[in-house]
Amino acid sequence: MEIYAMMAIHGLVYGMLLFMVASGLTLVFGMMGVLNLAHASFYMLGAYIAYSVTVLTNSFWLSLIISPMVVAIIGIIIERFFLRKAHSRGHVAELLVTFGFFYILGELVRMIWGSNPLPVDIPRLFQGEIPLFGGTYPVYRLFILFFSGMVLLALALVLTKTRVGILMRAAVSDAEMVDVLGTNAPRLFMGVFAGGAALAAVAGVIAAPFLSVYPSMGLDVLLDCFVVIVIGGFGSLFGALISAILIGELHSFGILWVPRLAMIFQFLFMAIILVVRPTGLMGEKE
Amino acid sequence: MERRYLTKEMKVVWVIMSMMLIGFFAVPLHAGEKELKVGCIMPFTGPAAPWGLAIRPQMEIFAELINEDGGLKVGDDAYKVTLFFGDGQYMPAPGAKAARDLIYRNNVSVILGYFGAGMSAIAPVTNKEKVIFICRTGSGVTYSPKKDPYVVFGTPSNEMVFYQAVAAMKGYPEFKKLCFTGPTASAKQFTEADNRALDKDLMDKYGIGVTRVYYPEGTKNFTPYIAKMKEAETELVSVGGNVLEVALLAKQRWEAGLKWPITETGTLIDPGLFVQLSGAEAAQGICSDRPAPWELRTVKVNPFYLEMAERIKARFERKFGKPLTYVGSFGWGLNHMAQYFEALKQAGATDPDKAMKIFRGGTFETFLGKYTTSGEEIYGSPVVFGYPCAMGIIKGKEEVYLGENPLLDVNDWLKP
Repeated sequence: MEIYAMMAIHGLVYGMLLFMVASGLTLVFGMMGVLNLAHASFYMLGAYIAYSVTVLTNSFWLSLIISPMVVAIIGIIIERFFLRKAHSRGHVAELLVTFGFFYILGELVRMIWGSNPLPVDIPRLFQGEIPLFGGTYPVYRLFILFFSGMVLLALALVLTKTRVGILMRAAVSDAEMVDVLGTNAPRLFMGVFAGGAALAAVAGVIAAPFLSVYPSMGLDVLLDCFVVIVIGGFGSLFGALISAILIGELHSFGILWVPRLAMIFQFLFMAIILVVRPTGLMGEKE
Repeated sequence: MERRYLTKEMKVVWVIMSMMLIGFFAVPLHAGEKELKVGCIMPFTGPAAPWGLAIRPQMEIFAELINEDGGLKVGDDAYKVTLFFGDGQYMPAPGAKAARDLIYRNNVSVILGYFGAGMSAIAPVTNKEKVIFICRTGSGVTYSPKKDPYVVFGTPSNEMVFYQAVAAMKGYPEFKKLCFTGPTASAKQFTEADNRALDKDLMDKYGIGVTRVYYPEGTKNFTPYIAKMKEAETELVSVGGNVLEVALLAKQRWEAGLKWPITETGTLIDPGLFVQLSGAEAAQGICSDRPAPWELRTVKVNPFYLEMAERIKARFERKFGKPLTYVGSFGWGLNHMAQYFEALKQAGATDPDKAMKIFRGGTFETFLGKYTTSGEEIYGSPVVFGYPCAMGIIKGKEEVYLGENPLLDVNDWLKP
């Protein structure tokens, strides 16, 4: 029984980590219609900046503040000076711009930090393990679960209880109407893009002590993120949450029961969803 | 009498003629010195590059020392050894391209030092041109003297996987449950029948129970796999992954409160890297192949190679201003060179057919003791050597000797 409980928690932890990365991606897509391939690079950049900040200041917590801020600024620059200009040329141009930035940021990371994997220490407060379900479980993984829960809660509050959130939801439904009604839509888009980048960076910082920091970490998470937003429904935050947890659990129990096929399950699931419900679990029909 | 001065044009003609004369006489002066062109394919870019970059300087020093000693004596001739390197990037297609470059551009007579997974792409190139290709067991080429007449399995990496695991378990006699893990591709190196035979031998000979948990390439989150290993009551893990995979596995097993020793089949590049990536505590107990000729206890190394190893060590330190800490080259590039040179010496010629006759079933002195090659198949692998399967372990920030479990002679191995 212990193994099932453990696998369920592993799946939940991985799923929530995935949600943190995918949430920004799905928000940006929902509002701007841009499939932002550079989003995975923001996740990677967040982790690398966290590495540098922890080396310089010896504080993981400071990196959790600085890294998303720096990545958000990079996101603003990309949106303001590149993506906005590509917007008039349609989604293919936008996709190509983000694709280009995926590579540019990847090479930049290699130039600055090199190709070798780099470590980020687990904060002292969350080192070690605690007894759980008759076994032991690393405290830091539970922190990931708790922290991503907090991020989810904060996102839900922003989206439902604040004016900005209401505007964002409105823009997801009908961006042109929001613009016509007097809201500065370009600025709103820029804010959402920066927010999405910051969310990815937060996920990168949180993942760094667990998975280390290495140049291909963005690529590793990119595919899983796309699966999450396709299953959840493009633009649906709640869909991304459900989907990320399902993927995490499929991954975890797949390894337990059919290890050779564990990696295929999520794609199989995605294929089934696309056939049965092409808009995803929580996606709305156009 | 009127003095005659050389015009500018005549001066130029004189200089050119002088240079031509010097060149004319200089060429025959060196004509007696023969050259042995040795090709090496290793990864110098990509994720496995640290290994290639660490091995190369030591191979160059070995060639330098041979040349300083008067060259390689083969029959009545002395050969100056010249090394040519190709970047195989640890992938089949670049490996085959590097082989073509080395053969057609550099005219090498052998390609050695190869430890990537593209042997089945390289072997057709080398076989066609009668270039001897010294590589490792597993990963693509099955033993077939007819199909691959010029392939030599210079490093018994298939056998090493479990012999090293046993060497590590000998260091922990109280442990009786071993878990083999690695990327799914590494699982394909062995057939089900090979695994059954191996498991039976490990139980019968050493009382060691075996379990296997493989993970997909690129895995970074090992937690679910660690849970499975724990469920199988694992006490020691043998992993065939890369540096980052080993480091993360070590780190995540430590975070879960598990202190299993972890053996990795590749040789440590730098224990400091594991200490850095896994954390100082979690890195303790990472064990790795440590073929250092000067510290072998069970395997006896010929004095020539022992002295040569010491000279390589000293030259390396003098040249690079740091001690030689990466000893993996003695199991790969350097040992392949030793095998090739010994085969040529025994053949008394550089002719590839004569050398291959010596290679099949021959016995050679190497940096790691006496090797015997054989056509017999053991656990799906065609060659049996006296490879020491020595293991080192990270203690503090350094790697130190842990134990040895030399590969048995083929005849002993086949005994019921």
